[in-house]
Amino acid sequence: MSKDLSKEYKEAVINDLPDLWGRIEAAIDASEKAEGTVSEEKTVLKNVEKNVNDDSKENIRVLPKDNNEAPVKTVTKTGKKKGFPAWLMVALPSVAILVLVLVPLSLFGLKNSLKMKSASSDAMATANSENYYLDSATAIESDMGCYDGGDAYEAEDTLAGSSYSMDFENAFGNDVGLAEDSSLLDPQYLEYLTIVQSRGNNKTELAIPDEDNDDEGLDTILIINPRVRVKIESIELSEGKSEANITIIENMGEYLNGFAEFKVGESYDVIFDTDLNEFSLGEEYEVYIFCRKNDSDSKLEIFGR
Amino acid sequence: MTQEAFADCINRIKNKDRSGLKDIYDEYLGYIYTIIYGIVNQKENAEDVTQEFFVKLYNMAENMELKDSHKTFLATIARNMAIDFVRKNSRSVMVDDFVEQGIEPVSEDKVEDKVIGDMTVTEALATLSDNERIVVSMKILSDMTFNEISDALKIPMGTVTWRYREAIKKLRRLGYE
Repeated sequence: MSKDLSKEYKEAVINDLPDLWGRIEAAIDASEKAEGTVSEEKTVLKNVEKNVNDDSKENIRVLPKDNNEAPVKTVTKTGKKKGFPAWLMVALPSVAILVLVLVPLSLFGLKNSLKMKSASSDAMATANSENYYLDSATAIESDMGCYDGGDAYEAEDTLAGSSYSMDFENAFGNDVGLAEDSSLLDPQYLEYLTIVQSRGNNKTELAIPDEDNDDEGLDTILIINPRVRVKIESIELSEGKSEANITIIENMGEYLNGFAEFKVGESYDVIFDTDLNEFSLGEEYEVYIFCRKNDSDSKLEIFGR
Repeated sequence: MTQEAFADCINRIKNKDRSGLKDIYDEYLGYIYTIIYGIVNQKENAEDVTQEFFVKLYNMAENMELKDSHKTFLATIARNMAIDFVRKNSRSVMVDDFVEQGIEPVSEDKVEDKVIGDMTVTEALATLSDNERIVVSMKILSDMTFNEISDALKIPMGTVTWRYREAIKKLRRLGYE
């Protein structure tokens, strides 16, 4: 004899039906009481006394219902009523430090390296870049130490400083072949964008040094041209480094001796550092063209602002 | 309860008269609880959601405008609240609920030894897997379509129908149609 599943199941549930009315009433009471409390708080807040002092600080005193009593509590608000987001409070000082400390520091370092170059041009290729990096890093750290305002602050600064100095090293740490072009010293170039181009790509052949040039000199970074205007034709974003296709619009600076120039109107596939740079499609940018030989896979890397 | 009687209850609730809600509660507690239980499939959670349902009904009465059948309207709210609960919370362990009621899940081996006619529906349902029982509950107690179950549980409809078929097959062997 078959049994009706649906009927028996529903009956089983209903037979075990709980009495929830007490709970429901209690919940309604609680919600009504909560609503009452909110309206009561609104009434209390009407008795708020505001004092705006000269420093644009607001002292808000929440008074009790009975005005003879002491204030319930005093809340001090500083600045605008709409507060800055926390990240902005950290980011703005960090950017300020970068601009005020690292930029002059890097310019100072470049000047020194230029002096070194003129004093001993033959020895440039083997200049001790590591020592330079070390000095720069030490100087940066030392300067950063002056801004130890707070822990969160410090962490952000350290992070920004480290990433910045890393690229600072790449771009300026080695003075081999550095052209004596005053435009290099323009602080705006310190916010450079990084573009990397592989030697394996045929299009990069234009950047390969002439046969007469000593290839061993490429074990460090070279500034091929300090000022080149390029247009971003396409961008393929990915994590870390992204690919872009650029067209040379104008060679504004002079190419480093030994390097054929990038022809105006030609397109090149490049890679740039997504974390540091922001290229917009169809926009033109003035970039550095840097070159570096990667010892492990003999690639040329071209950097630009 | 007629549509007019229900409208009268709602009007009383609008005037903060809880007797309106009590009348609806008395009439539809079983109906609402069954629907909710079918979805959340756990006693305590079903009670909580049912309680929330009536509190919500009380609070929303002020702006309520009934056009269709009030019973369908109540069922829709209850079902949506239960589905929300299931989505927000990790799936409740139904087995615990059965154990709590003094009924241990019955393995298939034991089922063979049992006299079919002696099995209650609760015992029969205990032979199903958790996943199968949820689907059966939603289908039978909450009158949900396979599509609605699939949507609520976020599993393919093929999986839902397969689980339901398997469950019904097992229950048939125990004498339930």
